[in-house]
Amino acid sequence: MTGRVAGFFLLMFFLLAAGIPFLIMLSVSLQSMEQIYSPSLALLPNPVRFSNYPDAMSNGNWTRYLFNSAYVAGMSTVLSLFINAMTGYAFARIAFPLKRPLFVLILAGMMIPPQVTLVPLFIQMKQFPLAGGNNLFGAGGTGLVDTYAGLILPYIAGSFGVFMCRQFYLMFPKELDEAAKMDGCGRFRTFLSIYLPLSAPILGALAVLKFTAAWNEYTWPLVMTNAGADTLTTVQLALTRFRNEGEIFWNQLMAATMVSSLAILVVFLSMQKYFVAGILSGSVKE
Amino acid sequence: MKRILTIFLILILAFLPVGCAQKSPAQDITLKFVRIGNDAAEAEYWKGLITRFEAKTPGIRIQYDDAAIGEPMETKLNSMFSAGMGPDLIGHGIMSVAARAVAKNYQPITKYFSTWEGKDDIMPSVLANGTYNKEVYGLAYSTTPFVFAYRKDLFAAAGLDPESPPKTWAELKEYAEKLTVKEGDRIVTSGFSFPKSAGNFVEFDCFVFGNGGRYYDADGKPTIDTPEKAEAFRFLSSFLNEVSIPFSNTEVNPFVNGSAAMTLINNVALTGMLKNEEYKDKIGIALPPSNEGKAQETFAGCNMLFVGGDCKNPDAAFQFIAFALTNEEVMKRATDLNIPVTRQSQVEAFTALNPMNAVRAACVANGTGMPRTTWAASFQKIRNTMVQEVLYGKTTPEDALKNAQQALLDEIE
Repeated sequence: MTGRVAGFFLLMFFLLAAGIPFLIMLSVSLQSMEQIYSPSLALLPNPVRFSNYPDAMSNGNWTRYLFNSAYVAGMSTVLSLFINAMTGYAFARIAFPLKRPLFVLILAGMMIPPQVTLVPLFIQMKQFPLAGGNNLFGAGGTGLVDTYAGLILPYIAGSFGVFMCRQFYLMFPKELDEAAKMDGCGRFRTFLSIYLPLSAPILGALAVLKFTAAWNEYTWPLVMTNAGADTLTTVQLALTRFRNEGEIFWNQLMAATMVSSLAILVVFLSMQKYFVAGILSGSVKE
Repeated sequence: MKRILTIFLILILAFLPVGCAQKSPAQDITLKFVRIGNDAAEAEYWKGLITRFEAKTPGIRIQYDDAAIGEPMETKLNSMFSAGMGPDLIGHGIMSVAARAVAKNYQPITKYFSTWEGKDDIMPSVLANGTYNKEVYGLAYSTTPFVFAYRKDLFAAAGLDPESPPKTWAELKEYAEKLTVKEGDRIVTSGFSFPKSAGNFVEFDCFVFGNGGRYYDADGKPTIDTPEKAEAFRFLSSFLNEVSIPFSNTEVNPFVNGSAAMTLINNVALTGMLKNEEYKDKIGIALPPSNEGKAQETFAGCNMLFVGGDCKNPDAAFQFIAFALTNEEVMKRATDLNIPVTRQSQVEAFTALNPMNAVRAACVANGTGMPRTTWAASFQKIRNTMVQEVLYGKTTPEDALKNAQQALLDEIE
């Protein structure tokens, strides 16, 4: 009984720790700047200013920003899931030379901070052959800088996804492969027709993680979009526009952040049932 | 399986075509322009300026982009320069001048400046901000001076003349003590609001400059440990704890939320207050008080236009800079964005827009920015720690200055 009570309070603590920042964000998004600047801390907006939302959305082309973020995050998610699953399958089921060192090399990728690879990756994108006016050797143009492809490509690989998928596929009975082989399936067909349809839990979990990471990414879109004109501006870049040299317009910033958070919420809620199952899938080896 | 493959192929095809960037017509010169700061009002102004420039200057096109103030701008520029595609035109702050000039990210524009029609009209303090090693690198389009702000209504209530803000440190201390309202030991209205931690402690610089001090000598060597700074520290320590509600520089200044009678503040941060009906005619601004017998000076940041080191068309780039600094554009920025003018001939017209602008212009003319040295970033970090330690009483001013000087010399080495 004592354990249950302690557990309840522990859960309540975590719920509050996670929920209070969100409630403050909601509250500030409905306050006036005068109320935000008032000396006393006010949690309840008075008066409630719903107009902060249309005001925030009229600060720039938010339809475009939301589309850009959704497109980049959506495409990154779909493509990376396919590639991660395929790579994970290869490492779990196919014997090939240097398999183990290659897997260790992929895992090592998880330990390199993205800041380290930022500039080399940018140079690679700039020198991408036959794109943006580049020749076959990647010279003469801007490559994939200022393109959706440049924003998406770096996300479609990922050590973590490969690792998760490999662990997940290791739990599958080998008889599945043998049965598929007897039915005349090649490796790719086996992956597509048998493994992929059974991968909903792990792909659901990865989809949430991947989409959230791509949606929240700030630095990569910052360096990859130089043409201005809002064509490729993502939500995270646009969120920095609610400040000038002297002040931050907190109410509009929080209103825009609320809108931005809704997308993540929708993805999470739609994938929720797979999320926990997917995260736990690699924990027990059968 | 076919369905999955089809969807996959459609997705691939959907995003590949956008990989082909459009190139501008060959006869046009296209200049890439990246500016620090991305708030909507300023971005809108610059897009309008570009339209006006392109209409007046056929054959030159400007591709505009911006980045948020602080680290994002540095990250963007560093990656662009690393890839050999640095912008042709850069709008950036004082701290970038020396480091980027040495790294050849900026080109000197002295030869263009020497024949520019506005060269004798630009305020000397503003021109100094873009000059490094006797070469002109940048010309300011925007300045953000710190002003001494005070509440006229609270002055009147305390029996002080609302039209006579303190001019000396002694007056500042006397006024602050009179204006402070306490309930028991708790300060409810701060007589003089001064930050106690975090951020960039330029408020302290106002006292250093107002005591005739500087942070480096003519050879660019750091001069942190000098008597002017020790005196400024001793002065602040003698009364701040009794008159100021402690706050961090990352928080809202108590003056802005009505809990302080006087402060030093970025003039832009007063915008909301000045628009608020509650404070109508109750706010006054002035040059910060100085030590007895010293000139009243302040801190003034500024953003300048630079020609990028990778720029192949510096003539065209300077044409754009000259256009952005014409009297018409300077006044348009003053009118539309409330940015203080940087040309002496425009001060009168600027003052006509709002009487307070006379003070803002004076703050620009008597303002000094961050050091134009390659060690400016290290200085900022060390100066902030030093001020914080003294204000919290963790060390004496003398020790703090000595340690800061040594720490900076070590960093430079």
